[in-house]
Amino acid sequence: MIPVVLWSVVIPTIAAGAIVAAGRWGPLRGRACAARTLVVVAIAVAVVWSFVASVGWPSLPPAQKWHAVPWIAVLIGVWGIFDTLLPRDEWPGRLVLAVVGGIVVGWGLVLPGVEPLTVGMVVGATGALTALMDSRGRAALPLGGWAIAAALSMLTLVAGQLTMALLAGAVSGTLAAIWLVGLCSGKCGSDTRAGGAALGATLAVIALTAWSYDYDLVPRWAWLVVAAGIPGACMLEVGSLGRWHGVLASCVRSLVLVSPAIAVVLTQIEAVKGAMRG
Amino acid sequence: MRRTLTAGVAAALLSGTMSMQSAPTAEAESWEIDPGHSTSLFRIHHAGAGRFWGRFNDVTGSVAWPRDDSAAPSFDVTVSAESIDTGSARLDGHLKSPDFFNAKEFESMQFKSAAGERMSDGRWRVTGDLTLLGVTKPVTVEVETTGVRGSAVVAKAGWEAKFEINRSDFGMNWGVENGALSDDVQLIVAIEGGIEPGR
Repeated sequence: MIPVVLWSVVIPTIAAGAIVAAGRWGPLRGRACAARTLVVVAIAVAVVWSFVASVGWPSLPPAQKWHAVPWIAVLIGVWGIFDTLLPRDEWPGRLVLAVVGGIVVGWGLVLPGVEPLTVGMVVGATGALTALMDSRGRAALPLGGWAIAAALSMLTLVAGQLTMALLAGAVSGTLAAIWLVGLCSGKCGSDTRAGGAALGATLAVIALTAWSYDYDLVPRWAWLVVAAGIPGACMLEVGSLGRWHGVLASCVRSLVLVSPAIAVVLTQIEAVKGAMRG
Repeated sequence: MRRTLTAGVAAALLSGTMSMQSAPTAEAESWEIDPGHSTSLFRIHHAGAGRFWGRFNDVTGSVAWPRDDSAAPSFDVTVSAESIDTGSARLDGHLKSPDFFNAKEFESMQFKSAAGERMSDGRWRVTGDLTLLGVTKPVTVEVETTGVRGSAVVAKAGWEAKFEINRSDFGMNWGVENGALSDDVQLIVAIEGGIEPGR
């Protein structure tokens, strides 16, 4: 199992971390837009690398429906890059991108027993929510994204889907790398970007794919609750709460983001241990 | 005595001809597979250590075969991927997942005979197409007729087929490269078919 985790999680994480670091300390240093774009690229690279290391190069058209995931990650990357290019308060543009992104993903990711409309709506909405949080430059988002992706990885492991668990693990590692790079570059990571729409959309794609192939080994509510912190944390961006800054604000936002994910893992801890032993 | 020898030589020649061509001398009957008395076992090498066995409980389809065994049995067998049974719900879920049988997408595996060649009495080498994960590949199966019993109207017959596949040929790649699970999988399919009035 160790070589599998090495090639499908550790090395993609290192590659993604190097891409993020290049945006902070490389020749593109000081170009905020380039740094944001590289974070999006890092997430897509982590997903594609992890998939290729686990399954091999994906065929086109996909031989199996879930083999579309790496292609979808690339499309989400394009969506995420457009998202990062928009000015901070360009909300109509972000919403249009989320609608278009949702439609494209709903069309491209055909999952057993899930309507394309559901796929499109969940991915579009999650992408829009993380785009909202990320546009504020919250340090909480990389940390929250890391926790959600890690919890998702454990749930997919319980569901017996090793490849999806590794993909979520690679995204989790990437978010940890983003957080670390943000911390090391000063400002306590307050200006750290976490990939905006690409983060939420990628997590939603992994969660939906794993859920659609699950044989009720994971309770249905767990799939819903694991990412509940994202809309929860977005509530803290509405109105005057959106102007709440400082360490306490970051701590509260982080808690709101990670609490549901941690709670889900704790309720499933015996199943997680069993899956890890197997 | 000479007549007996001549008849024996003729029978041997005829048998040889049948072996080469698998030409049926009697009309093949259609035997409907009895899922309650049929099963499919698989064996795979786990982590380069133990050999792990599992089974599929739902085997359906039909066999065309003349009960005098004058021609090779012709199989049209469907095995439900959802019916996998290892004795562990967690392991069953894993094997039904997209990493392996992807049972939500590909509900079953099929084998359809194309030709048969007699190996010895009651033993046949049957070639046909196996469809797994939507990929169809030719496979060769060694089949033993395990028995036939009953009247012309109500009867039962049995066959046991053994063969080996490389699962990566069908796109089932998980664990092949790192040796977590072997590429080669041995399969044993035990079938009982029946003929009943009205069928």
